[in-house]
Amino acid sequence: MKPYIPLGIYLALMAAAFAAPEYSKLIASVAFFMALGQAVNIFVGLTRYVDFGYVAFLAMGAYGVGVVLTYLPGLGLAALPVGIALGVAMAAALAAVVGAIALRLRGAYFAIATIGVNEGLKHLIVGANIWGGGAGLILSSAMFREFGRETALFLSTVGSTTLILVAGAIAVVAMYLIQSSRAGYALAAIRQDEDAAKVMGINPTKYKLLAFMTSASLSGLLGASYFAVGNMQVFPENVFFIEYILDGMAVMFLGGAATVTGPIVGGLIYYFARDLVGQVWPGAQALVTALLVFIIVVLLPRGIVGTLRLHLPPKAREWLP
Amino acid sequence: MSGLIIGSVYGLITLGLSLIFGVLRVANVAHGSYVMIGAYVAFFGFTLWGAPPPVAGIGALALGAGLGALVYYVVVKPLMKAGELNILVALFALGLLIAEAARMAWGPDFRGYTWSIGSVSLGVLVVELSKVLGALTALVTAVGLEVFLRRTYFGRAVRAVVQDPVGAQVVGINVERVFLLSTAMGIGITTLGGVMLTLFIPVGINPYMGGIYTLISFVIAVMGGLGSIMGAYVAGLLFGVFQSVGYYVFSLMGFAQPFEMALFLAFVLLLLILLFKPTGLFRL
Repeated sequence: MKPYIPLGIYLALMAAAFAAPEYSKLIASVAFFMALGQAVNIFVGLTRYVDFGYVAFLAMGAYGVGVVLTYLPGLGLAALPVGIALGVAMAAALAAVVGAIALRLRGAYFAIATIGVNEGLKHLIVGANIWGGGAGLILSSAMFREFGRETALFLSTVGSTTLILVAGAIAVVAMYLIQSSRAGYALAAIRQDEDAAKVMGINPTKYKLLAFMTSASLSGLLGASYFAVGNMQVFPENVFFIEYILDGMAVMFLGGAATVTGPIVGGLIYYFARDLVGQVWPGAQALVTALLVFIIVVLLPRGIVGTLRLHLPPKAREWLP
Repeated sequence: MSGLIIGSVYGLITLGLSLIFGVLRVANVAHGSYVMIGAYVAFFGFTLWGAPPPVAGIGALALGAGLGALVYYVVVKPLMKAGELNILVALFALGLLIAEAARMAWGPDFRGYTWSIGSVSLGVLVVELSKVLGALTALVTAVGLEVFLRRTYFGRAVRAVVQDPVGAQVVGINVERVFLLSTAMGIGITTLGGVMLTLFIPVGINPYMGGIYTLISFVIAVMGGLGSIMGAYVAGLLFGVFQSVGYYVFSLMGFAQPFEMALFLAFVLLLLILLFKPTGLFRL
């Protein structure tokens, strides 16, 4: 497996965002779907477990930046890395807690355990009125104060786009590292027959947790870059919006689960399909997304890249992981 | 006491989830969407035709059963071989599809209606008669379903499939028909539950209301032991009490949004039960 094509695409998009900042919002929107699919893929694609509370990781990332900017003034430019680090750490910690409990359970039970994570955390933030409660955190003034106006505006456009693309690129590398290591073989064995894998001396929970936490940390980074840095605000209704998990799954299934190039192809098609629907029939994007996921899962369960790989000669397959 | 009354309806909402999981081993992750459909049936039945909720309940039961059959033929049956991930994702997508279709057809606003037929005093507390009626409907449905599963041929077939699908097939049970009818009954009962629920939420009908009830139903189903019918109903009662007490305690503690906190607690409870006793709190 050679991850150069997907990595090259992310680098090219990064260069494009710097060369033409006026298009950086567009690139960010496309890249968000790609990277989301990429991150979801590391867990769902590699384990074939499904997490319906996944959006909570995006939210944790966004709140990390939001909380540092709001409650720790005076950090200057350092607030950005500190905030992102906090967001990623919170996403990873949440994944560790949920995973340690729920990943010991099989398929359906795991899905059930995760179903409340998203709603539960949203209700905690709104109900206990922490971190801005239902009103959310507005970060624009804090960002202007900490970074200066010009830098803040640059960060919210090109900076946020770059961070999203970095998240996507890290996801590609992580996927490559996992798949070409012991963990990849362990996960493949678990995917095929969890009991047999256990008998062979593989600890399923350990490897599933590894994939889960990697995936969650990347989503945390993504949430921090897209919502907090990019939109300069964190609203609970927005960052806990359940549709993002469906977006991630749509991108992943469209491109092909457990492939590395899949989410890039899927993200590209998905963004433009969504855009088209938005122009033809405004307000129906979510309806079409749900329908799309439904149709792909039923009719093309391997996805585009997954199906393509079946028909490629082995040499070419190496280049299209 | 008021906890028991709403809990009875929670139990009713959970029956369908438990039945479907028990028979097909499929977790209907879009359960709340069917509750939402039932709620809209009650709302439109009442406001457009003046149909009282019990009448709407019968309509919703039939509509839900039809929907359930459709779900079985379109999603569950073709994907049974493709694996669990595909079924769960497809059901989830279907649930959002239903919610989005409802939003486009009926708008995103919260709606509701009140059906007042007087109230009755139960010891220390005066309860509206409509709520008592909702709770009784739930009780009758739960007991009816249990009797149906124990006393009729079809009920015994269902229980045989629950124990061993292959064995059931060997002794001549049409397993596919059992799957189909269980899905239809499960979803039908859920929409009926949605109708009864509207008696408790005077302004709470909204296309996205399903999410909360999916969470609540799963908490209850896991509490009662996934797949157990009476377990689900009794756990529903318990959850109702638990929620009322939680609401009371959280408002005493000065939280601005006690209802939201009670829901957070429901989620914590779900994780705790799955951690310590994934087979349910009691055997029924």
